[in-house]
Amino acid sequence: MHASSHKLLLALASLAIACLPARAQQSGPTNTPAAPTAETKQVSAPLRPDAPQVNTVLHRINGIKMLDLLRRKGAKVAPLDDESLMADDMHTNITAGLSLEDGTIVARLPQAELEVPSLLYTMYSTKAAPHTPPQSNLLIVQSNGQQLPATFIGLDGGTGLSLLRIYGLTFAPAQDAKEETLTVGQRVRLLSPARAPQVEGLAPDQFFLNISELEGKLTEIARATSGHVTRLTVSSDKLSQVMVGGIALNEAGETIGMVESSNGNEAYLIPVAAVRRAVNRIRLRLERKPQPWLGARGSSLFATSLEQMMTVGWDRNNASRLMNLREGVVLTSVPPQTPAWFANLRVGDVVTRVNTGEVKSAEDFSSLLKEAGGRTPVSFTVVRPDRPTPQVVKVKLRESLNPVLEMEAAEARAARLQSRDPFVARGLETLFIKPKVAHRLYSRGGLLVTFVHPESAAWRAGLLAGDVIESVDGRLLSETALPAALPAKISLGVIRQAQKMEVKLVADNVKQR
Amino acid sequence: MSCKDCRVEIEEIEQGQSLSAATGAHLAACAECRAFRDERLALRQMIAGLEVVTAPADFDFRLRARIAAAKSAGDSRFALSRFTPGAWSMALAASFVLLVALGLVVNQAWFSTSTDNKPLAIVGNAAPLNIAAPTFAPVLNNEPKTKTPSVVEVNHPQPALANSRVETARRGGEAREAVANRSGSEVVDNDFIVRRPPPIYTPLGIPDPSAQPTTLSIPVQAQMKPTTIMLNDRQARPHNVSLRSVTFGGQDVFEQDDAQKMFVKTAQSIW
Repeated sequence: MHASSHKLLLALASLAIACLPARAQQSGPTNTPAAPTAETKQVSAPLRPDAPQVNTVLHRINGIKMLDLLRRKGAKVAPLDDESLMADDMHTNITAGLSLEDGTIVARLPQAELEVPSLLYTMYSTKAAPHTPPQSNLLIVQSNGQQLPATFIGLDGGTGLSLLRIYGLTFAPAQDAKEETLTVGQRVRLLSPARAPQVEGLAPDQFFLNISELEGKLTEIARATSGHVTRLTVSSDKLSQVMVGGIALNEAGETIGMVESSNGNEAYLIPVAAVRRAVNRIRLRLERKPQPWLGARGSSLFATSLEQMMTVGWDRNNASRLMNLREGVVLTSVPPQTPAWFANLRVGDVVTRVNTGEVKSAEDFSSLLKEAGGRTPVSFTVVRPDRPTPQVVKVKLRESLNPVLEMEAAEARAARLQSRDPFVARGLETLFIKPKVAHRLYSRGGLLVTFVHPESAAWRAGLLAGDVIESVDGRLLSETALPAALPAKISLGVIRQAQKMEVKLVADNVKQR
Repeated sequence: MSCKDCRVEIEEIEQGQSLSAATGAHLAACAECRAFRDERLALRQMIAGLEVVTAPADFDFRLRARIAAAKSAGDSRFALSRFTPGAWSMALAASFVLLVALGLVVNQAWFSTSTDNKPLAIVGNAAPLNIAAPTFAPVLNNEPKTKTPSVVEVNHPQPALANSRVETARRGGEAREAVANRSGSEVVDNDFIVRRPPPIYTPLGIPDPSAQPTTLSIPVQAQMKPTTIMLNDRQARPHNVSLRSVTFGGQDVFEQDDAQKMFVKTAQSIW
């Protein structure tokens, strides 16, 4: 047979074979997750019968999201010169996940805030201005070894816990330890994923994981005035940051809580009842039930370092004295136009009471705000860097369908108003790129868009994270200097996935014609 | 236990299962069987690392478009531009195109009746398709046939990950069902097996009786090389910092402890 006929046969045979899995694939996943049905089944019996509720969560972050994470952390990134930042799996965080009966999984994802914008995108997306939310890359490895992709459902601001869902599955119920059974001195098992000993013959990008276990002792049970447990302290001599997010069990395998933070030989746990309350708060948001919103960020005093207190205005002596009490939450961000800002609360303030309830942890503060509701004024007892004697501040909380998203929007507004960067003022977070990165992105250089604030001018113009702004009104952007100001209406030369396009960007206060 | 029994068990064990205590004891004493086990384990890992070829998501659409274009043009330019025209190749090409088109039509008809307009759910003991599994178990074909559920639904309710894939295989008759049962999958028609993913917990060897029997290890694939990035401090002075590619729990993404203090905020709650 002629050589060309062989080629033809080979090509067509490949075509015929390839089209079969392609069809099967098309019947599979869609961007709209299927709703859970009554036909859901429990997964098979786990290989760890002593801890079936402990799963492993892999949270993968691409380069663009990592750059956004650095921005959110306050880092100032110099012009980009490393093309490896464009990788799809630039960073992977591996942590424990606590499975609940309804197919959801609670995890303390350190980079959960990166997934919150996807909720904002969904919220603000309309038929007229559809916006595809950035996809999260979350993988659950169950205790029986099965690995399943999960969807990000929401973040509880108070505890930092995220709720993930694997649609179509339920889990075997795991027992929670009852609060009244907890005793100081009892043995506690701390479980979290860890790197297993390296095995020869693996590829350079492969490693092995297992669930590691530490033994500890319960050394403190802090209770709120209402009697419920607000914080548990466990001591163990091999603690590290690796254990944060881990699951704490008693000897019977019942869940005691999740590790919120660790310091030296002590781990601070979010009690399992507080985990359940956090999950309920996220569910209330899904049901679109309003919740009280203060409009501030902060952290539990017991989980804050002395250096961190000093960066928010405290002197060393006063901060040390206050931190010895191990009570209260310190506010680290109060954007303008929020209920906290209107009540004259400021960065550095430490809230020790809400009405008559003591604030011992961040979760405690969330619960007390929820009890107070969003419609009546509440009294905060506050100590301040410049005035360490307690004073009472009246705060009128607001109601919000999603306090985390509300906070994100308030901070974005504040950033747009305060920034001298003309692109930030229009809702764009950008970074200059150097020739090597520019070449990888098929551009001649310019600004890489790392985040687009929802509901901003840039959002309405259809700009996306990952776009490269090459030129403004036909002029190429230089490597390091931003234009000091921009006209109200500009035309951007944009490179998106190797395609050149023109985007009209109109400032917020200018009517489009 | 004899060497033969030991090796049979090693051959037959599924990925994710542990060897029996008797085999473990034999392996501890028999260097030849240990070598045999190591060789089999290496082979399985090598097989697990093989890539599966999948067509792009829009392949079906593009193929149909090209077929339609070829038909409407009424000539034989479809797919032939790269080949020397000839009577044999033309005839073969036409036959294959027709075969592919017929296959697609039949395939689509089947899918439209079996999965369309139905809630996606797990039926029977089927596990959801593992669309991000980095490994595939070796197929063992000497298992007895067991009855498979007559109703088959492909549960695939999640958005696809970038590296999502569905493995299919073509086999015949009872062997096909046996393989399907063995690998935990279900026979979905006469030509397809949609295979349930193997568990990715892979015993690295025999269980150590003194170790916890519940401690297993799983392989994970991730970029491992740290990324260096230049950050400007408050005085706009540049500093190189390394970002960890993989972190566990609450580990910081920065490799240097001082980077966190110099540049960045701490994790915070939101109220």
